Amino acid sequence: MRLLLLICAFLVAAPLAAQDDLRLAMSGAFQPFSTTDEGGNLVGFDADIATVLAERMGYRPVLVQNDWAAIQAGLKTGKYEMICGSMAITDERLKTMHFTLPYYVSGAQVFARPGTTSMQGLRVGVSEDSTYAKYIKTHVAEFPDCTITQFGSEAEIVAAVTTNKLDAFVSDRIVGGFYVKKGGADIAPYGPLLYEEACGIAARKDEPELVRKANAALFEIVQDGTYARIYDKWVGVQPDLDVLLKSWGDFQQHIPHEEAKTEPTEVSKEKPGFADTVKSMLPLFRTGAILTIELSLLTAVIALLLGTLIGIGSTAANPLVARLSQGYILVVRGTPLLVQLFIAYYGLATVLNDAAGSEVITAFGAALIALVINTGAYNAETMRGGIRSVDKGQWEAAASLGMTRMKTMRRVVLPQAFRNSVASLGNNLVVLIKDTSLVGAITLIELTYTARNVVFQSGHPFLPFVVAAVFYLFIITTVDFGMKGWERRMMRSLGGKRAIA
Amino acid sequence: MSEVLLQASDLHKRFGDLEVLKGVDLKIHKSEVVTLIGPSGSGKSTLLRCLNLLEIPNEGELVWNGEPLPYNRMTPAEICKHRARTGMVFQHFNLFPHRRVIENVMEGPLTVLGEARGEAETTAHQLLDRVGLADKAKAWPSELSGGQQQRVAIARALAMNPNVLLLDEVTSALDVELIAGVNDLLAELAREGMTMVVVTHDLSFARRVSHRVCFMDEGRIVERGPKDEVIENPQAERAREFMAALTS
Repeated sequence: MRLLLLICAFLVAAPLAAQDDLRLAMSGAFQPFSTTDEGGNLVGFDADIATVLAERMGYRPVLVQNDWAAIQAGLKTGKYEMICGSMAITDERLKTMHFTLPYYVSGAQVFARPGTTSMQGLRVGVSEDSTYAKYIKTHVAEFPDCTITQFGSEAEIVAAVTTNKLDAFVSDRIVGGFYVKKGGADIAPYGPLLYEEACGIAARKDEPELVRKANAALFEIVQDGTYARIYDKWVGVQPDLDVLLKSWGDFQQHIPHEEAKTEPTEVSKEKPGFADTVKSMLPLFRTGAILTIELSLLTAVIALLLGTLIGIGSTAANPLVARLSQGYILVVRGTPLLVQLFIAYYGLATVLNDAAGSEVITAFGAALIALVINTGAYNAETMRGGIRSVDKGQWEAAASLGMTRMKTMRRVVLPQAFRNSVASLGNNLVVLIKDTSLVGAITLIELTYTARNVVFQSGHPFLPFVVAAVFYLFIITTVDFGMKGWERRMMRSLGGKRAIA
Repeated sequence: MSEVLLQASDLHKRFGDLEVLKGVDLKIHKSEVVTLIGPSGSGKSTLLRCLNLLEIPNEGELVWNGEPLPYNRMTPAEICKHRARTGMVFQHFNLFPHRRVIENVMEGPLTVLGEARGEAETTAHQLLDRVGLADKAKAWPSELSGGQQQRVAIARALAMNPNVLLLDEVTSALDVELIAGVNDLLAELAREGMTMVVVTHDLSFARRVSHRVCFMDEGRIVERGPKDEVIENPQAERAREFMAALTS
């Protein structure tokens, strides 16, 4: 009994001991509010505000960089206590989180090419999971026939604009303006603000005390001029405090009161049932899974051909062909797939599309190219090993019959090389299927990306990932089963005892 | 004696710094069986492989049927053509493991000679019948004994209808009880007039089938002549030691 009490005491004491630190999260990809410096440290308006507030509240500030799409999940699962990341206060977010008083007011702005007179049919970019994305979804009439593409950050949106993948985008007016200036994109604010929005610092529903402390600290730094100094440092102008104070008045009703001190269980009570969420999201998962399968299969077939050709090339007698093939394998295996995806999408696709004058390489095309080149290199290395492992006597026997090198390769060596490599090729295929989870980085909404969206929409921090995992497991098990069958067929001529029966 | 099929003069072959053939002269007449014997590393196999251009010599002359073989200037296609008319059988059989027995025999006629499938298949069945393996046509090589595999390899070489058969220690990897079957087959081929160059350590087989025997040592043919003289009564000292060691 005493032991049990002791364990309980530890469990309670452990989080308390950590209270000296206050961890605040931000995306680090939202200049000038949050970004990283040369040393990888988080800097910006959000970072300075977070630091100052935590200190005034009596904590040691610890800034945490977290992907925007997963930033709420991180808060819920206790990876940090607050989000100080330019999060707009919305009714929906207020259902699952507490917010401090607004710490700045900005607004949503459309940016478009100079001379644009109508939004009709434009390609519009927007940051995923943002209030702007939600606005576009609910105000379709203002974006007639537009193609809407979601990106991971404002920086990527501006990169897409400069590489002519977008005609317009919607973002925060300060942030958008900052990136346009920095990225040199030929684009400018178009029309009036869509709406004003106030950003607050978010905390879990079971931490109203933290919010009250933060509000007090915020009031303090506005009063003593610290706030204005930080604002001027990052935004470049003095803040309009009247607008800020007015937003505080509007926000009064949402300030957590003493009696609103809630049990931790309240959060889960408000969550929609998981079964219902998954059920409503299944069509999304299906679409994501189809994209994953399509991309995997197409890549698998082309990469097998490419890998075989390069594998043959790397063992060629011609030194130039051999060097080129081996160089290809070296370069591609020596660079990360994610980097290759970005080069294919922002580099290669842009150059080709500009040259053609139309979009000949879509995001899907760019992903296919990068995946084929990547998997092709691994397959080539596998085939090289498979070809090398074929006995030299096989080459001599074929040569002594008068067969040419090419014929020997095709009829004698390759079939045996495939047989030697089939297990490794299958392994490459499984790796490929899992690697497709990276193409979300270039706006393709496959399985993993779908799961991330569902996390955001459902409020479940990780169960959608479990659903995605089940999908992957199903796909990969099926593929594995097929590969084992192929392997057995290939091995038949070796394990002759069974075949003779 | 009948006319010369293949002649090598002052043939040299080097692998890097190692000179394996140091000037070999050899004449092979039509329907003649010439046996090359000698210690390991004396260059027998290399000489054999130079004769069908599996190895390209460094120096010396090769003459085929009265026509010189300018091996340094020949195109890959010409080299392939020469290899196609000189059959070769290896110590380790080197059958194609991913092809059935019949397909192994058909491979050369189909892909090199461009024969029709039906024609190639008929010939292959005849040859398998001839080497005593008619019932193994559909088997995989891995299902056969070593002796059976070697007889398939001989059938595969014969399917090309070669002018000469080069045999590189074809019974060295076989169990003793399997050797006789292969040797009997080769003896029969010799009786029928097949020209053969045989590298072997099997003196009784050399005695049985060959017309002439060449003894090689350190990259040269140090003694040559009718089989009785070279095997029974060698003049060169190295040859005497070698025969004594083999027959003791």
